[in-house]
Amino acid sequence: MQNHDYFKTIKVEREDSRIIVYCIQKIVDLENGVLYWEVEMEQVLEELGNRILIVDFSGVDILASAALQFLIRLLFCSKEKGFKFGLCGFQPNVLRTLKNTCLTDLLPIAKSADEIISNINKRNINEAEK
Amino acid sequence: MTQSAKISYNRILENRPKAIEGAIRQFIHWMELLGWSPKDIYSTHVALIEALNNAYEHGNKSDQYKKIFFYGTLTADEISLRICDEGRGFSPQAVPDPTDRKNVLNPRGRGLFLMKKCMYSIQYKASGTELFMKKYPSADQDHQAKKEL
Amino acid sequence: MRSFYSKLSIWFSSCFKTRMHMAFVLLIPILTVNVILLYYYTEKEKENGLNNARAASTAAVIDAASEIHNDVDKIIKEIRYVVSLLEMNVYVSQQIKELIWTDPSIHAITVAYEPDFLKRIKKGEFPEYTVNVSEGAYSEEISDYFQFHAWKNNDEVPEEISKEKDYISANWYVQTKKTKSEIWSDSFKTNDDNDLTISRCSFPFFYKNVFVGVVAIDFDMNILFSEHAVNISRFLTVESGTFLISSTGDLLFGHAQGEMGNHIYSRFANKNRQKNFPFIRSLTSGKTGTLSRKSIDLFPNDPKNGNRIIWFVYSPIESGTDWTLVKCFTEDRVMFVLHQYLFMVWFWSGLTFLLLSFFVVVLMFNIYRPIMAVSAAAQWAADGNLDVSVPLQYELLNNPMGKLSANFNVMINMLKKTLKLKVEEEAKNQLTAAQLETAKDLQFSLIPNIEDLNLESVELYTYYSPVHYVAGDFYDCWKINDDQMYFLIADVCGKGVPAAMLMALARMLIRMASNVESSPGQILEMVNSTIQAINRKKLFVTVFLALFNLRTGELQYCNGGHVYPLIISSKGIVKKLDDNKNLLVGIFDNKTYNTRTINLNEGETILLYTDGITEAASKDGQTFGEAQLIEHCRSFSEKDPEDVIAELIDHLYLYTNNKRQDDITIFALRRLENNR
Repeated sequence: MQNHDYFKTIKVEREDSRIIVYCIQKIVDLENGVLYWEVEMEQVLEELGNRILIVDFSGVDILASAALQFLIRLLFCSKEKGFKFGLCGFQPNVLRTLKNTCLTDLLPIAKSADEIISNINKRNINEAEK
Repeated sequence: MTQSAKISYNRILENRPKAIEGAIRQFIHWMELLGWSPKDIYSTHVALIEALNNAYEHGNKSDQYKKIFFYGTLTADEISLRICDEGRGFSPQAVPDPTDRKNVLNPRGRGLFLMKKCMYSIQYKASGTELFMKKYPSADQDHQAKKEL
Repeated sequence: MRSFYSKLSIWFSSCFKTRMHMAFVLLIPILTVNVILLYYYTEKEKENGLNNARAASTAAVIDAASEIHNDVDKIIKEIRYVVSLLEMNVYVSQQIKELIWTDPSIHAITVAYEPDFLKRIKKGEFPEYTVNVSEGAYSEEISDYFQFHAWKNNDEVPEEISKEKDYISANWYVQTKKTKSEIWSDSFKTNDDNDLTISRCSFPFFYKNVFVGVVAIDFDMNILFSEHAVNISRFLTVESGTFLISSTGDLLFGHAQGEMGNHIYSRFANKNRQKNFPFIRSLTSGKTGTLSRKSIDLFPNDPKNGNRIIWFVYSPIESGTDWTLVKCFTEDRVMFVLHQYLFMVWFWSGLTFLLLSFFVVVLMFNIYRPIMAVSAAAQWAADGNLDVSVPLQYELLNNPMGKLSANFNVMINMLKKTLKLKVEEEAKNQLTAAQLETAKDLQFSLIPNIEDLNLESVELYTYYSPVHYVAGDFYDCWKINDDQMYFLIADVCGKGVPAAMLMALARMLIRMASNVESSPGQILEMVNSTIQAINRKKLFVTVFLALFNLRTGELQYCNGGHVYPLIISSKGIVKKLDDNKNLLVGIFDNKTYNTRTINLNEGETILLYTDGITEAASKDGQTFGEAQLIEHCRSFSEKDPEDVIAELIDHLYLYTNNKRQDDITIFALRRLENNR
């Protein structure tokens, strides 16, 4: 497993309780390497463990449909493998794209990393109460 | 500096991501030059990415020896695009609706959906190998509707 | 502070809605303050005036009193001298007569002998004493009574000896004998033809400490008084009185004028002590002073003058007379002049104030209010509302404000008219702009969309930019069959609408001619002859027309006066296609247009352009030029044509500083390499 913080398409920050992945591509589509992105994200997932995965999209101007597809796969992956994750930092245009494709209901989207953490904690409490 | 001009061309792109990137970049540049609004430029950018990526991946099957024919005419009031690939075509009707929950995992529908959302009209001809797209300035939809009549 | 000030000024100006408001708000406080100040001044002046009058009158009375005193004193001195002579048993008749003669105040002098002393003389006592006032006048035996009397009678001073005993019981004699000192009597009238008022001063004289007799001097009070009363009469002449009163308060002599003066005179003259003035004691106290009383207190029977105040200014006359000189006058007379003066002050103040108020009102209503009106109207106009005018009442004012108001209204009207005209012009311009916009759309639609051509073996790049809505430049491109395609670039002379009209015409003519003729040269010949036949305005067009074989790359072309196209190889080598030059199209009849043929190789690009590029001028007048264009074209070897053209356009705009003068058209065709 590589320990570089900077990959081609992402920048990773590791903390005790979470890993934050910053997408550094302005346009995430095929030729900009959705493929690369997938590969690098997989590497991050391998080392995730119990930590929460946060993906920050503040540097992204355009998300192509292939990228959206990857996000959905990430969602299903998290359900299968049992890790918690959240997406944050979307620019208004990108958020609109997500809304248009009805993905804002499906994906765990928040404004910031802290909000993601608190949402997850709330959900944990709710589940614990049940 | 906004120019009053008509730009019309036919580019024959190699089926490589770099070529597509360059073509899109230049197209966006022309739109800026003609004074299109950032909102329209953004949505056209998204549509172009989807259209050209579809041509590259699904049409030409990522074959680098294939070509993408990128025809475009731009004025300040209208964008007319024609994107052709050398593939076998497909049926646009067969593409699922991504807003339907059961199609969540289906990759294809989303691109088309986005294109439809971003452009005024899209049309597939020649069994899906030719894509026609039109766009008008977002403040101007009524005007264009009248014009078409 | 500012808001307070603005509130104040709003309140202030709101008070001027009516003249009444203004009077109230503006004038009455000022008036009140003025009145208070004036009243205070007036009272002060009155007080000063009274004080001055008091001082002046007192001084005058003192002066007069002292003069009377001096006169009397002088006389008394003379008499004393006579008395001393008598005491030395000297004949004094001459001195007496001289005294009477010289001093106008002395009316008569009497020397009366004491009968007891005469008895003693008879008995033989004092043998050396001569009872004889004048030498040699008496040689008879000594009588029981003896009196020598000399008096003034016109210009003479007769004398008389009397041996009657009438003087023995006379008050003047008795009192003098009793007190053995000089006595002044009250004044009395002579009751003869002269009707003089006399006051008698009696002196005892002695011989060897024995009382011998009395010398009595009769003073003519009129003479004594009048000379000096004149001095204080200058003080006031109306309703006043000057009185000489004795120590007992009896009037010795008086001089009164006017009703009030006579009242006072009567009162002084009233022998009934009870009816005299209650303050008589003050007057006879031997001191100088002033006092004032209301007339109603002194003369209750005269209510008419009741409120007048009467002054009494008194000063004693020394010299043993115990007389007091009293000057009486009414205060209002003293103060008359002052009151007149103060009245004038009030009058002129009032007048000035009225004038000032009038002026202020006039100012307000002729200047301030019009200014406010004009200012308000100007404010409205500045806010964009031109339906405003200064009210007619201000226009009609007969002063500069009226002119200002009238001029303002005229100005507003003119502004409205101008604005209306401007708006109309603007509307017209917009209409024209709208029409031009439509024309532009139409022209753009005449320029073909490349995607409609279905080209697969060539890349085509076009850039078409009119400088004024519509252009005289154009390019065109149409297929005649699967393999062959015409393309052209043309430039109509001029710019804008006229050029565009000819552009449309030329375009159609060329297209139609291509259906009839088969080579570019022949097409241009046909077009040329058609246009020149109808070309009254002598507009021309330059054309480069080419017939291109998409499969073989053969290029047949004819250049009708247009700038030479450029051929750029895949390696970036640029050459001009300058070997075919024909005349420009549309002017001259019967001209031949030659067709040339070359081959456009794979990877080569032919670039057609109009002189809007090469003639583009920079700020300092230099043109872009063919050389720079060729330089740009070299980058065809490494960049996509679209990028090259975009860069060229950017460069042009920078070069002309975004102020280009001509239409720009670019048409680039690149033949693809087969094994790309």
